[in-house]
Amino acid sequence: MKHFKPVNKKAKANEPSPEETQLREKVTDGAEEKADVVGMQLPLACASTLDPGWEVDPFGGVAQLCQPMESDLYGCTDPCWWPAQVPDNLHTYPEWSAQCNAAVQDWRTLETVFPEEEPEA
Amino acid sequence: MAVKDTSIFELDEVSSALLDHLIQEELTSSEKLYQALEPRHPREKVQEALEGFAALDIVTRYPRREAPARRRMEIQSNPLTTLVLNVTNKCNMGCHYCYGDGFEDLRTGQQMDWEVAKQSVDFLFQNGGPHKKLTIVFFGGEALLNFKLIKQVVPYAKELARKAGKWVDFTLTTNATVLNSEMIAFLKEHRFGVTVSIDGPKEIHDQRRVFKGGKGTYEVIVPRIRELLSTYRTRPIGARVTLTRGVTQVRKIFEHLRELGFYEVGFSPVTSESSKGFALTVVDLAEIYAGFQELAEIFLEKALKDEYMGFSNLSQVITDFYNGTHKSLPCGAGIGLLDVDPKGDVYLCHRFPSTPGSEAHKYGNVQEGVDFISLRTFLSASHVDNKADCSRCWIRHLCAGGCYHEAFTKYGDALHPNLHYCDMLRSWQETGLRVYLAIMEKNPGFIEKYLEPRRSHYETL
Repeated sequence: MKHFKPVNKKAKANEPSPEETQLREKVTDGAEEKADVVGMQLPLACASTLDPGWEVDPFGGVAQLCQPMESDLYGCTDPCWWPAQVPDNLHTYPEWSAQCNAAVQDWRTLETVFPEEEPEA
Repeated sequence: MAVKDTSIFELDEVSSALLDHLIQEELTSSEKLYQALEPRHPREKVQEALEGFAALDIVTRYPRREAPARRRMEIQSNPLTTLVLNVTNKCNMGCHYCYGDGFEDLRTGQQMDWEVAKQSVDFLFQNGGPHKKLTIVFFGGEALLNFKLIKQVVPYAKELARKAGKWVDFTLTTNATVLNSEMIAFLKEHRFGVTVSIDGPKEIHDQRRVFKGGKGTYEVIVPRIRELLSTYRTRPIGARVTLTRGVTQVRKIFEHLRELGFYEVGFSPVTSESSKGFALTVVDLAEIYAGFQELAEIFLEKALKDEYMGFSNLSQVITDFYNGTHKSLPCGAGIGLLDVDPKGDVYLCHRFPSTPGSEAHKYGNVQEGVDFISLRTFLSASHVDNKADCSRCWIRHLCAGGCYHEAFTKYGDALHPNLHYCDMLRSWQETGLRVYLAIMEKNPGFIEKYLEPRRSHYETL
């Protein structure tokens, strides 16, 4: 890597050897791959997402949906198409989905929330 | 440093200008990036640097070529390197902060018998797989209260090692209250790695490290420690300090123990429920951290003069940066290390047997065998990628969520990240990285010379 000087063992170990560099140049015919940096994509409204929802698969079950049904639970928040109430994880409950790395495995962590303080009378 | 694999690089003018820009400005497209940097840095150079950051996963190509798969770790086999023997659960001391609650009384406690010890050593050799070097750790209670058994285990293990063509290493942690010349000679003969638990000068040590009756132990242990340190030249001896509420005078403790003659001094914050009187408060943690910083500065000063200062906590961090340590699991417990209690029951590590409720981390016994399947299930679940709290932390592959026992005591769940230490640990790693880089810049030979050899001595726990 140009412009990076390794200063520990791991960094040295990951440097491509001269042979690797040569081989890459051969494969790509000298033309280097170009990287482009753009902003992240986020669906901006319900209409822009196409998740399979509460459908059933061709056999009337849920086993063969192209996404596991548990992902619906998580789908309720960010792409916001699910017609049910979920906690507002933008302002009031920003931590609501913090424990949910992957809905398929962690959907049980998406729990009901309660107001922390009673509103003043 | 790249979080992806703990590789560390020095940036040149182009790459550091690019990094500054990436941090300060909103990302739009690489074209805008080139334009912004163009007057000073030619486009091709910036492009090369950008490729570098992409290779390190510091910037991401869009669209990604493949979805970022969540790594799943399946542990197929986990040959052991280390077995801890709780040769007794008795202890003659009653330290206020003991996770074993002072362990058992001298009369009611249990000693491991020869039959169990023999089965344990056999168990280690049977499950050592391809490892050439195996380690047996003698632990307690106070391990030296069962010195008789230690004397039996060592020759037996050496004989097995000889037959198997392996090397067996021994280590011992002791409170030094019953240490005598016979024991020292034995430890020397078998090249034991020795760690002594001691909390500092008398007024500090005797606050919480006391006999069962309440009397401080400092006066009793110091002559014994002096004898050990003056005659034992086989391997460097370390002191291990437990930091508790009010016991946060890191520098003072360090200097005292170095004066006593310890080669290395390591500090551990106490493991405790927050409600206990000795539990560390936020203020204590801040004081400890300040003390660590102070020692780190002195360490660096000395390192640049090519002198070594045995501050284990820092040596460890620096060694990790030097090697590019990249952890998925917080420690070796369960993977290469298991613990056997006096009855022969096998636990995740030496801290579990005496902890209330720790049956959950009992995985069998040396008589009938260990349930490696459920052990591996636990380990797979403890992969740092499964710890959502860690997912955005830059030290996640240096810490991996922290100690299982600490988590079990504090949160009732060994898989819970040690959230109460996060801020301190992040700052500490940052200090370590700064010291590491300064050493690499000004005295690069230092680590090879002083820290690399240290590994062979302190590999075990």
